[in-house]
Amino acid sequence: MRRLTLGTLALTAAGVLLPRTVQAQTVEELRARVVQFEQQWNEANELARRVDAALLPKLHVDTMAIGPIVLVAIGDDLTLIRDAADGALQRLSDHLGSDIDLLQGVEIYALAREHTVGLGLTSGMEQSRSFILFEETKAADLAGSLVHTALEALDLTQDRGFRDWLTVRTLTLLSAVDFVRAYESLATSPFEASSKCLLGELGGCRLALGLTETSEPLLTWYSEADRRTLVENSGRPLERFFPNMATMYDRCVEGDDESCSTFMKDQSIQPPLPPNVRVTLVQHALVVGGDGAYGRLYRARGTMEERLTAAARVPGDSLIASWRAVLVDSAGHPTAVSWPLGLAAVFWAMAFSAMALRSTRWR
Amino acid sequence: MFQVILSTQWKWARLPLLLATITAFTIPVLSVQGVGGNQIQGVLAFRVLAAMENWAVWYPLLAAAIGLLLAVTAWGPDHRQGHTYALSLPLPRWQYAMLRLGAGFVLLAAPAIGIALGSVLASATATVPVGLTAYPVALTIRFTLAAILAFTIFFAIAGGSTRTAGYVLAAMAALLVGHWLLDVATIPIDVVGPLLERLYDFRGPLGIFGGRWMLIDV
Repeated sequence: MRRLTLGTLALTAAGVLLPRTVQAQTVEELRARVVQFEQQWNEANELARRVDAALLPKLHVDTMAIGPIVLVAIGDDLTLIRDAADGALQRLSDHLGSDIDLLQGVEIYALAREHTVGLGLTSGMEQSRSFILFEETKAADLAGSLVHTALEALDLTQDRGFRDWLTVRTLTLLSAVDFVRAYESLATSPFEASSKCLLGELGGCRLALGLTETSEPLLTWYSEADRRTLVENSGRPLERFFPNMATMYDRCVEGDDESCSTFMKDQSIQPPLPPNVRVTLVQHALVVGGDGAYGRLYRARGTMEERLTAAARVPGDSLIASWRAVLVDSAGHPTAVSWPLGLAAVFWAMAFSAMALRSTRWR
Repeated sequence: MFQVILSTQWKWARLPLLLATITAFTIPVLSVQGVGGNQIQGVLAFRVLAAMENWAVWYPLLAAAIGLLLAVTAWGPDHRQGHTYALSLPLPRWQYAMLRLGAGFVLLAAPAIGIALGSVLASATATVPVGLTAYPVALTIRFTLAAILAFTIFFAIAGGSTRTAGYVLAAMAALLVGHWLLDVATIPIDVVGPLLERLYDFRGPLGIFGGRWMLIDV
């Protein structure tokens, strides 16, 4: 647009200079004028290019390697992305160990413009993510997002069964808080299998985690009382729009188990324990399995329990029992005052009291 | 002598202390309002935890406020009267300060009893969902320790001169200003973060104020 305007101005200026009365011109004169117009056009064009270059920030394109991952970064300032790439490699190496090679062939695109960084996977991997980068965002935060995107790419290579069971999009790096939250979910779950699991019954854990393969999950994972709870939790449908469902709801609440099953038949049945608990089991299997566990988990086929035991290299019972123990230990009794905490409080109270008594001066 | 000191301190602090005691009794009772009834199982447990988390912030704040209140009322009149009463007594300063400190500890029993009664009453009346446990004793212990610690901290500050209190405040302000200046200069040094971490670490002086303050928890 700018070029067009400048060109038009140049031509108009030339037109103003033309004599008002049309005079006969020789071919040579006409050629000379054409050359002059051409020269003015080029000058205007060059000027427009310089203005464009001055107004637009320069975009840099860089290709970096995060271990086996190719990171294509585009943006006006790639310093943050370069720093983040180093951090991401460190974290991925710590997390995956020798299994980092599983990320061979993964390509991540990062586009940085002003205060926004978008991260995406190559075409064919339909999921991509972007987030707003604020001024105080550090390379460590971006490194975390790069790690997440890389692990997302890894999960997308898995079959539907695995992803459906896990439900969460990506096996992220879990913290101690995630285990406490998972324990809260286990302890507060209203379902029979979860209660049995909490009390240490491994069969209950298998049912609660959805590890027991079945074509009838509603009947296998949930007890009769659980099914009634499921229906109650979903709420009574509006009678005006769904009269049959409302009737079934009422019958189920009154104790008719068949109505409960019919009510739930079109709904997707998830295991009694939510995804945030299931993901801790996977994380635990990876920790128990040590180096190479990721590879074994992703290469193994079969039921979920078979995959997890392949990753952990311990029998299913041991894996589930140790996972339950870790979960229960992680929570402890958080409100209770531990001895070290209580003693520390008493020590500091005595120290401050001594400070108050120490002076001999009245002030 | 101790009785006289205790009686004067009680006279100076009784009204706000009474209010604090009633508040300490009320918070746990209010926190369980709406807990129970015919709510759906499972959903109820999460609601109870969420409600407890919402109320959790008030316990340490109240403990700190009680500590501050008792420390200020213990020294305030002495400061205002130029310590004439204290100087008329045949006691060295440390003994007099210890009597004031001891009287403060005794008065702290009132809000501690308040929270104990409130917690026990709340635990008894609430329907605690399956998987959750009521912690009235743990909460009372945590609250009492926090109130004692807050009292000693503020007692030490209030027992000094106005200049000492000024130094403490100036040091805190300097820390915050320094942190802000480093931030403005985009120098990536976090001064406040590590300091707070150490203060709230379980071995740190404010460790008791951290953690979970839940009457009903997993």
